[in-house]
Amino acid sequence: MDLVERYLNAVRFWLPKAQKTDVIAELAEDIRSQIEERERELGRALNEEEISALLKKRGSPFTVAGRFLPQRHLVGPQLYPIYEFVLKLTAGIYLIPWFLVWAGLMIFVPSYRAAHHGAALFEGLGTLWTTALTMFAMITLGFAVGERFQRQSAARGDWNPRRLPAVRNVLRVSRGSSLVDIVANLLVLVWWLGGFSFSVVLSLGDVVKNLPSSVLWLDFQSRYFVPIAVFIAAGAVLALLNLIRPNLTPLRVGARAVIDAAMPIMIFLTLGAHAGGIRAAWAGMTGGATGPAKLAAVRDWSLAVTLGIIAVACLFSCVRGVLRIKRWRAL
Amino acid sequence: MTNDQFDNLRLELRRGCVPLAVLAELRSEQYGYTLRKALAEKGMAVDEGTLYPLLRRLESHGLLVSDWREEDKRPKRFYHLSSEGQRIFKQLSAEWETITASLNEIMKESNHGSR
Repeated sequence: MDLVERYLNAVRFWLPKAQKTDVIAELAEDIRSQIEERERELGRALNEEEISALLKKRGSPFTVAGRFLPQRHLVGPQLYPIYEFVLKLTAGIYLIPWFLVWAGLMIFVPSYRAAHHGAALFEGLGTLWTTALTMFAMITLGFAVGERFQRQSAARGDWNPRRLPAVRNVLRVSRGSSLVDIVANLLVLVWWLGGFSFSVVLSLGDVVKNLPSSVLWLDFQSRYFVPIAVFIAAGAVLALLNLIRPNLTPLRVGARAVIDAAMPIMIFLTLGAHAGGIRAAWAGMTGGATGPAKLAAVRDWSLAVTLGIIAVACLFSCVRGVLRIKRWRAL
Repeated sequence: MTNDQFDNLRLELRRGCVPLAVLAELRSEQYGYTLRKALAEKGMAVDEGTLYPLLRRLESHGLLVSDWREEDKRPKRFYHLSSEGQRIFKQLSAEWETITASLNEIMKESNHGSR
């Protein structure tokens, strides 16, 4: 009976305090009754191996105790699809672009690649994992809290069919969005062609007048002045077409994807060519530079980061376009 | 359909019937082990990991009453239907009759249609 006692003791460990005595007494009685019945059938006492087999058939102590516990979960089946959607969205909006920037730096910036090999490679990825785990934990926690409220709300029947969102036509662009797109493209085009300067718009003229020009920016402008102007103008034309005919065509989506793909290539090539300058800007910004030199360093670093963000946003838009075309084929 | 799929669906089908079978058996007083044996003998084998938590749940819902008594020099917990349990059992029995009648009718139609 030593085995039975050990088994019961192990089950007792996992049970809630209030139920321990009661459940164990009943379980002990059931096991003893089963053993006695078997012994009556065999006409002899069961040996340790037979008792062990009998206990094994009942399941592990953890499993047996678990059946007496109420069912518990952090995120229930009703909220789970939304939870999964939010996790995917977070991965798409933050983690994948992060990874793409990191991959871009590794591929296009030799100095970054040289500084991040071997164990240092995992340091960069380590930041991604920490961020991913933190986000996962925060989202799960948020949904766990939501789950508690949702149960109460569902029990009250708190929902209204009239408040459900309208069915969205993914192949149609709203006219408002097209208008915004046209205006934005035209403004950027005028600015790119030298129509106005942000330093004037932001009344920073006196502050930045004496700063040396950004080599990175000058190089980017001189190398890609015409292609970028053409791409921005093409973007405005596409937006105009969308305004006139809001139902998208694969050709228009494809053209947009090509524009979106070209931008990151130009940006990453420029950033790669100026990796040393960007590193110097970072050193100047965080190190001992003062006055206009520090201001120039902050400007150059911000410029590099902004270009990086634009590249990632364009990549994201390009992928979205490609997926849209794929969906088209499936329709 | 694979055997696993059949076993899962069969288990699901039987799981819904266990509370009714337990309530029916507990119209007369029994303790856990004899109840389990009685169910098994009538073709409704329920493992102890399912039965005991179910007995507790039914008791916490007020459908069963239990008390510890000594029998054969050992303490045993005897269960029987409470008055609320008897009322619910009658309702569930009627529901069971309706379901089986409906299912029989549906299956008869399906068999007829498949010929």
